[in-house]
Amino acid sequence: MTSNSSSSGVSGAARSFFRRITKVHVLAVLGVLAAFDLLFYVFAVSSLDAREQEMLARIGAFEQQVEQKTKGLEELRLVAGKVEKARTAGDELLDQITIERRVMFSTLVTELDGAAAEAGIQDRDRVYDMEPIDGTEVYGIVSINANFRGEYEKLVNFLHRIDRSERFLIIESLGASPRSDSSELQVTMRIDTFVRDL
Amino acid sequence: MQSMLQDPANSIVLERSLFLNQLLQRKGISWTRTFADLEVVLPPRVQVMQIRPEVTLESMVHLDMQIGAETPADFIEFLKALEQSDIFEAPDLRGSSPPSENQPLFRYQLSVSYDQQL
Repeated sequence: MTSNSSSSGVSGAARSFFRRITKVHVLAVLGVLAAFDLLFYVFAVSSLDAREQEMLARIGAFEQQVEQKTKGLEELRLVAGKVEKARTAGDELLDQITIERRVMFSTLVTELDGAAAEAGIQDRDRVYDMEPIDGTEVYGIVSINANFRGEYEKLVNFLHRIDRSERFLIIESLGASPRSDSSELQVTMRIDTFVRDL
Repeated sequence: MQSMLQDPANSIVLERSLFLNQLLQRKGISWTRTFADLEVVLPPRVQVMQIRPEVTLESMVHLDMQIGAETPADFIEFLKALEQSDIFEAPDLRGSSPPSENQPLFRYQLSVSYDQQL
């Protein structure tokens, strides 16, 4: 009995409380809830979204960096390959164009004497000078200052033989002056060649 | 990549390649051809006393020459022939000296670009 009267008292109070709630109150509460939802979205959800966007942008940037680094690495590998190829080709070429130190003088004298004799010019004095090439202890340059005497056609013939020589002979300079006692030219030449295994 | 190329071992390869290229270009100049081309432009009383070819960084060939001529007019004729030539360009006169007791010719120091057909 007591519980019945107390429960009917509570439900009566609740009923009177609900009766006092008007539409305005409900709308106000709904409005407040909507405002909270909005605030929650603005401060929590949308900022999460921005962070996610930032993260994605970062990932994109990292991916781009990785791509660039990979590309750079490929280029570097390509260059390294080319450097190695240049090193090998350079070694081979140097072996071809240089004369071995051990046989250098016999080779040079044979070559120059032969060319002069075949061209028909008179071989005069020669001076040989050998120096290492800067930055290397293995290779050297041999400069030959040579004098010849002969007619113009024979000189041109001699030059042709040096041009065509299998040895890597470079005529660095040439001087010619007519001799007063004949139709011959006095010829001075500097010829350079290269030596290995100094 | 820059640091790789600057690595001493690799820069030696680079320097050596440049050196070898220079040598090959220098060896590529034909003296037979040079004399044949000069014969075309040299007047009868003019002679080449000294000649030294040089290959520039741009792979151009320059001939540094000392020319001997019996008269200045002969040398001028040679200069005009060079100027009109298709293979010799822009002669550059560096100096001159008159005949002396030992040397009967007028001498001229001259540099000229030479487009040799290699």
